[in-house]
Amino acid sequence: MKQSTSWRAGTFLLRAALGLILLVTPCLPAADSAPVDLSSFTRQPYVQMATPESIVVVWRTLGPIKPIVRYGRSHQRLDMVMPAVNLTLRVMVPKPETEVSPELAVLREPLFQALPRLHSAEEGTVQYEARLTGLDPNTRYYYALFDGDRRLTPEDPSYTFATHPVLGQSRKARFWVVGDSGTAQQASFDVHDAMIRRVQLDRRPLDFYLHMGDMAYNDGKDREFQAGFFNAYEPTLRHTVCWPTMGNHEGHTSRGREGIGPYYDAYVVPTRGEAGGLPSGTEAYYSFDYGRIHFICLDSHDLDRQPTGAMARWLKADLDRTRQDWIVAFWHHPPYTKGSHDSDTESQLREMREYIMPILESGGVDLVLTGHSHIYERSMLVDGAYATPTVAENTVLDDGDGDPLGDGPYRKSKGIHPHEGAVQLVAGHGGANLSRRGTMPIMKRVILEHGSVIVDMDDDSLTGIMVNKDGFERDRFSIVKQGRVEITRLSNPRQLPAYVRPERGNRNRGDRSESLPEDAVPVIEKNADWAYLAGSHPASTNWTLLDFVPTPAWKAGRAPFGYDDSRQHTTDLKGMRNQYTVVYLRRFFEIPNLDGVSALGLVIDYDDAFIAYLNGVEVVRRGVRSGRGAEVSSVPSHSADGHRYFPFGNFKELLRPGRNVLAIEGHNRSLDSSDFTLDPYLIMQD
Amino acid sequence: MNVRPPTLPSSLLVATLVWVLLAAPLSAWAHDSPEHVVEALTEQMKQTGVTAELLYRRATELRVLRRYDEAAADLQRALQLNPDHLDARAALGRVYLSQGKGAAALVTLDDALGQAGVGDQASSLLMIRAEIRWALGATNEALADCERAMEEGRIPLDWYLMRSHFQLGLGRTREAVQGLRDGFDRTGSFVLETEWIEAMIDDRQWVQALEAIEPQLQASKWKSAWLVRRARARLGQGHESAAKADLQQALAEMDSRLSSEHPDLMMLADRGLAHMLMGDREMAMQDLERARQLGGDTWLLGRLEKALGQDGLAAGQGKDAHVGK
Repeated sequence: MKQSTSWRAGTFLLRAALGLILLVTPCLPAADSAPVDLSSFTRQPYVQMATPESIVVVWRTLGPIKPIVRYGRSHQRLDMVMPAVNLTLRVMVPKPETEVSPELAVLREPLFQALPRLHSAEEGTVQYEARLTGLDPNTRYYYALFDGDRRLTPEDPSYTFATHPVLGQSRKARFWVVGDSGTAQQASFDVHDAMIRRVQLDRRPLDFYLHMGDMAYNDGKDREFQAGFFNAYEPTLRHTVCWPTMGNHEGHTSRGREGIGPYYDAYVVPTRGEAGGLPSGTEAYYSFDYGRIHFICLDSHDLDRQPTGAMARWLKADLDRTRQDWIVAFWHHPPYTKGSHDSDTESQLREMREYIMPILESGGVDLVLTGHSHIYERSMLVDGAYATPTVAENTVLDDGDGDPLGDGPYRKSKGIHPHEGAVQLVAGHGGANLSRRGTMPIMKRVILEHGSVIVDMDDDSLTGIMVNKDGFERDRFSIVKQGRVEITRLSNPRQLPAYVRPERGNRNRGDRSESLPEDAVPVIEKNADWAYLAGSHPASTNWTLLDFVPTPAWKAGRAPFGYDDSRQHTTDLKGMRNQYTVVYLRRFFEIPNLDGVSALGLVIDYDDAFIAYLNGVEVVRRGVRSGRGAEVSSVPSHSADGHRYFPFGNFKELLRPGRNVLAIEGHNRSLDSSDFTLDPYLIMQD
Repeated sequence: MNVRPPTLPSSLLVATLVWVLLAAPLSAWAHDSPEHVVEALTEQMKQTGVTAELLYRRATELRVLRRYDEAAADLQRALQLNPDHLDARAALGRVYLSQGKGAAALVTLDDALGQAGVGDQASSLLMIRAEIRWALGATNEALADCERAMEEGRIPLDWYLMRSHFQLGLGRTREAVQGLRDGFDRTGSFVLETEWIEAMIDDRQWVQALEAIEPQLQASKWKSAWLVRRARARLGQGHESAAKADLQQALAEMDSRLSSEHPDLMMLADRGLAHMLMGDREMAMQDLERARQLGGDTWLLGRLEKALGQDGLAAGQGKDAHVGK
């Protein structure tokens, strides 16, 4: 989306297309005279690209309306009107062969055909981008949208925005950092809700937020944006600007080089330095200022990351130009991670580390925010870690935890100085499935929980807190910039212990391969009904036997069992957390003819451990080192990252013709674990 | 400015030029790392059979992992299964270029262009072929491809830069100035504005360049890059003392900012040029060699290479003036 041309083209054509309508519109009504109609929106209003003097309000309807934006300093007195010249329209013209209503058919008129196009929205969609200008800096305004004299937004003070402070003005800032949240699933909603509760608790609202990308799984399509981003964040987006960076999933349908696709349709960001910083000429990368903080957004996905590329050259010039006290850079692919991605092996991540980080660190960057890797990782104060593989020796400047109440904040000199260190923060834990493959040596915190980060900044300090999706604070760090600090490199910094990945699959000696037999047939179906006991232990071990009679405490439930794990559990064990750690399942199954069974095995997805019994005899255990049931004291962590097959080696000795029973006890690693999953079924091979 | 074509493999700039052809949506498993996607695609091919599309997608991930030999094998097989798979053919050309097989890359792109229609797709293919031709030393042909590609449609910023490289390489400095100015006017890109100023210096438009440099210098906190540019222009005017002062100030700033372990390559190139303009050839060569070791290529180092006579020109031809020692 070439913003400058779109402004010119859009405003001219809009005036041509709608001028007659606006001229004949009588005096505008009072704000509360017309009924509200939110249903007119196919995308509810959201604010974009705030500056000290302006902001853009964006929304979508199906078919054109007579767009009017009223705004003012009081939500009860919206005494200013945005002039038509400040409006840009983008349209999705209905195809000739599509039958549409007359209201949508008007979009086939030549004037609308000539307007800038949306990439792939629903046919008949009209997107409005209203730029409110001439505003006062550091000021709160309220707004409402109308279709002629018909009010579209309710009389609600949450339809508001605040302009940025004047460049260089001292002002505290609070912003939210979230990434990889575009799943439209419960975990991402919970992450958002936890942020809202936190800012309410602090009585300190957000000033804006940064999204690290992957906000619209799986392919960044228009409808995925609607579900995973706009619907999910609507209550926040109507009053808080999101400054985005494109993730690889948006990159399936959007292209940074040309600036086209649903991602570029959705957002309005600077191309000519409108919000501070140098003109980039593209929305793929840009910078903006907030008070004394300079923010830089890069496209790590599909642009040239090399120093010869336009993006690197622009970055260097932008860093050379800024005179702010703080520099925060953000993009999608982390230069340092061992979460669901590995920065030592993947080229996009490696190139950001080898080519972009030297530029940023010679420019004095303070904080680097990224996503992509589905984990929370936060580094020590580091500089110069460009090698592959990444090492901590002589790249760590402060190996403390950065917590003001712990080892103390990281310290840098006041102002911007090259190579005084930066904190690297991976915030890819906003809702997608989490995983970890190792420990990045420069990291101080590695947390495999869903959540997000809230950053508070003032003139000489920056504090970041990670809030998980339940609202608990799980990490805190600060950077303080005062006076002049002497930099030393630690030759042997304290590092996190090496990560031991939980055992997967069939690793015991003598066990067969975990590949499912090609001609396997279910004996107990996936998503079958089971008898289950939760919240107490069986009185004896008889519960695994064929002739066991369950007590009334046993209930019936359908697999999968569990809570959280960012997935739907048919039997949701919401009361499990902080109450109990073991769940017991039983299910009968029939084997008419033993001779027809050449293999029998359990297929199970689990978090964190289990023991399975066939007709009262243990056949498989994973994660439980010793003991059974209530005897088990602790188990290691294991993520429910897919079903695994465990063949029963001795099934021929244990199976009976006719009725048999499979019993499973599932164990959670701790009472306060954030998740639990037990999802079994049984297969056999003829 | 004549710039020697790069030694193969050339800049990875080409890696971005036909991204449009690789933007085909991947299915749900593309959510994972490239390694996982490769595994998943391999498993899928075992289960459902090998198709051109699956091979192409696997090759895409293999390229990300720089496993070029495997990527080439997949793409070749994909084209055996479906000779009309244009995306695969274009990707194969890029892989050949990454492998240093310029001739094969060129043939492949010729074939792809024969298949392509008009519009953005053809333009992107022309730009890939332009870089291949440049890598093979056919700069005139490269420029012709570039200009055809830029005739219509959306023009990415990198294309303006690439065109100017070709023009400067052919000594067509005035055209480079005009082309970059056009790009800057259209996009507002600061990078294009900066390159326009550099091109004015290359075209010996000293006065105009100095007029453009001055406000940039005043506005910048870190001034070394602009000081070097101003020094070049001042040397062109014969103002050696003033140029020397600029270069000394620039060197002091760059020395304080450059990381010794892995420096910012652009700043390293600037420092090398500043050394050369100060007459210190030895230090300039050190910076040039260090930049090359770290992956800097002719796209980045062209002006420094030219100043040092490392660009394939006969000694004394086309070199900048420098401060007398």
